[in-house]
Amino acid sequence: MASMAAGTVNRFGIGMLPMLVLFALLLVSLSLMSDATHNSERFGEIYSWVLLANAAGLVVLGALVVANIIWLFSQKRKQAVGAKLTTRLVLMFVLMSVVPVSVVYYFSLQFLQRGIDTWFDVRIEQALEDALDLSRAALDVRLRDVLRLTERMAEEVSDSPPATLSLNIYDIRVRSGAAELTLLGSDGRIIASSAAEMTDIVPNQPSSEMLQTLHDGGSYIGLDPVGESGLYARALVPVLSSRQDSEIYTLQALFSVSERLSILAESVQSAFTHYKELAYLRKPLKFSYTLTLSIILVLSLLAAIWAAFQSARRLVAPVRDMAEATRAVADGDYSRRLPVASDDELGFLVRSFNDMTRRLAKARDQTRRSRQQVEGQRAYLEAVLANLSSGVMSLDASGVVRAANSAAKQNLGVDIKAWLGRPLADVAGEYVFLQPFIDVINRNRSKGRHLWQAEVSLFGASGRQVLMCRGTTLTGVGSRSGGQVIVFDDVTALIQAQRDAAWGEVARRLAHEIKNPLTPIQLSAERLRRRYLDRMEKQEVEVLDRATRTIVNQVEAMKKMVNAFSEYVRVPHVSLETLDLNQLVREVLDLYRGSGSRSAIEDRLEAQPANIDGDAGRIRQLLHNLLKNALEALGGKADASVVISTQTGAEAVGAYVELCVDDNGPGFRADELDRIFEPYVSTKPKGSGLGLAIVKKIVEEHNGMIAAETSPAGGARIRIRLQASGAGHGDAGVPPDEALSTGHD
Amino acid sequence: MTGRLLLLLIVSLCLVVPGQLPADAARGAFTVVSAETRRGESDWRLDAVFDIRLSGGAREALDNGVPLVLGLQVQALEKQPWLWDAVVAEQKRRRQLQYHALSRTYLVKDLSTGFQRSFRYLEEALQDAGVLEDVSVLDYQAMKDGRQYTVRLRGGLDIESLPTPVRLLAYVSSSWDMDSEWHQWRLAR
Repeated sequence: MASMAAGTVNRFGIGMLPMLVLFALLLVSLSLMSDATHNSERFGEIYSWVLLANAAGLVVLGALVVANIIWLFSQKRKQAVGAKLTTRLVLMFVLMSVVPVSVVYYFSLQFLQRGIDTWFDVRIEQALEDALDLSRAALDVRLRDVLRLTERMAEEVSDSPPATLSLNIYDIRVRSGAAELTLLGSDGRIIASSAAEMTDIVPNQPSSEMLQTLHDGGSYIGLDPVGESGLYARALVPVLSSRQDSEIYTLQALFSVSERLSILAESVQSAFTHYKELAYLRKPLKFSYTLTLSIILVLSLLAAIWAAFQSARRLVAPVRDMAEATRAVADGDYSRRLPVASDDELGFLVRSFNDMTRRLAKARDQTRRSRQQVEGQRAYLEAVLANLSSGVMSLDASGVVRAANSAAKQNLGVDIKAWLGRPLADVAGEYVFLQPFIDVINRNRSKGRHLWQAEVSLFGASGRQVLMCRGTTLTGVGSRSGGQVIVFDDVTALIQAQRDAAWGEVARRLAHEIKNPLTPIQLSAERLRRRYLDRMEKQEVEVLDRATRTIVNQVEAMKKMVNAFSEYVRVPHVSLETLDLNQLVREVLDLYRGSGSRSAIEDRLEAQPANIDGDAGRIRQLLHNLLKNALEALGGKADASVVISTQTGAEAVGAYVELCVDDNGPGFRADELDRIFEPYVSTKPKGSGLGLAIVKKIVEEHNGMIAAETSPAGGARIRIRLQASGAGHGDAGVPPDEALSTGHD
Repeated sequence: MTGRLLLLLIVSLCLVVPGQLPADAARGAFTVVSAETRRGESDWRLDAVFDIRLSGGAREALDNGVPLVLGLQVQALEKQPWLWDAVVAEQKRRRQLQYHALSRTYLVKDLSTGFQRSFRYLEEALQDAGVLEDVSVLDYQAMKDGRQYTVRLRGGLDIESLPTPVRLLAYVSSSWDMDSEWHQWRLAR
């Protein structure tokens, strides 16, 4: 309904031309109606059609106004842009037109009612009635004369023989000066007639009611206006015949009233009739005028309302367009352009709006291009960082993690992306094994170093890990200045390889430099024994025998030492398999218990299996070395005891197996603790200095950690932590122990 | 606001208009008392009598000197197979009725012939005005073989002849309504 109304409104709102044509037609029609109301000769005949045309105009205008009102209501209901302004303007226009038009209407109506009433005066009406009565009185004298004359003529006719009736009638008419004389039968038929005017062939017959008067025994006399001929006096009297059984005739005589009297009487009659008609028409006339005025008022009002709608729509249209366009711009549509319909202030506003949207669109396009460039560069940088093997992490001035690449996740073994936006200090609590790494960063940050480098050892889910960290303070990046970018590499394998290579080289040289002369020395000593032992005296033989034997033994010992060293530096092939460390310890201990050693070796192994992924041969060698090292350290002490214990545990990072070998010997000195696992460092006079170095090497081959510390019993303790079999290589690591980790700047 | 104003205007018009209308509600009528068609020498002829009773409005207008024009209309219709009946012949008689105050008579004037008669009483004048005598209805020559013909008759007040201010009232007010319906009958061959 609303859309139909809107359609109608639009159809009729195309231009001003239909409106002007309609108004012109209405004005013509109203003018005709006004003329017709005045009983004008010209327009009186078409009054009904004019009235109909105006009613049709009223309906058309009313429909237009209703359509506009419906349209406006629908716009308001939809809360369309400009609906409120249109309503306000329409109301204002309507008020501006309704008030003055209503005032004019009211006073016109009053004027009209009173104006028409003043046309009529009681005295004039009375005077006219009196004049009419006077005319009648004047004519009555003539009528009485005519009646008397007619009665005399009837007497004459009654005496006439039937054969001469017509002639007598003619004769009597001529003598009496009557205009027409007719003798009628009792049934009204014409017996004889004579008329002064030869053209009146058919006599003017009396009405049946006049004849009835005669039947009642009386006569009839009355005035009779006969066509255009003026007034006539009509007299009817019975013709009484002396003959019995004869029919009673009626004589009708028409006498013209004197011309002067007739004119005067007709004048009075005409004036009286006209005045009476006017008086009668007073009410209908008022009604007609009121109707005409009301139709004019309603048409004017409807036209004004319609014009108000049209004007309001025309005024509001650019504002509405602009509001809609502004909304579109607010929603990001900068392509909207408004048509410039006028050259006034609104047109200027529209042009300014178009300029603004054009500039906005241009600015947006530039911004979009810049952003694409920045995003491209950012993507490029991210690709570069992602393809770096080095982990990269950036912190802002307050220590909050801002960025990290995927290599950082791989190097640290944790989902570093989850750290973004969080302070590094908070993260330390969740990933305890990263504490050394975080400590190094915090330490350097707090010291305000712009460029620093450090090596950090971690014991995480994948075992021991050495990170090479480099940090740089960010400068020249605006608000992000003061932050740090940290680059770190996992150099565990590199260090191991370097170390192995160094020791391999040492071993090769030792083999070459030391082992080669040993055989000639041994051979020379044996030759000395063969050649001179039998020939020499008994005292000298003992000396020679002891000396050469010593040489041979020492050379042998030296060979063993060189072989052991070669063994240490040799890169073994480690074949890992799941094995129970407890079981392995028991097997090794059985060998020692059976060897008749004086030292007591006690095992405090857990009842449950301590499964690890390891090479059984290498682990066995590790145990031998540890036990041998402990026994040698005790050196025949009376209450010597060695305690070997295992313990399984689980931290957030995963399960582990810890092996401890405690003795009650002299223990380590504080200055030895740092170097105790290095080759050729020994606290024992007889030690080769490779036992613990090999132990450490085996532990590292198994991604374990080793620590030397002082036992609660006062002796030495070697503590080894190995990853339990099946322990996940999760993001978290085994919590570090101060002694287990060796970090240095 | 606008709607309320319009409503007020319409209501006030409705209140004003009935006040202007004459209150006399006497019903008028044109009643066909008798109607007869008979064969003439060359055509069908009609004799009919209407009983005319003036409506209250018409009577008041007449008494106040307004001449009334009474129209009597005769039509001959030819039956069409698929369409409406066609009017093949038509006769109209217009008679003016007027009160003559000086002579206190009612004048009946045939507007086509100009013949005028006067009557002392209105009933007699109306009786005279309601008579159709020997009116030619349909020429024999105009009649086609195999077709049916009907004659119809009606009478009424000619409102368009009234003074302009009265016309609207006469159209809309029931106190002026006195037109008869068509009185129709088949024409025997």
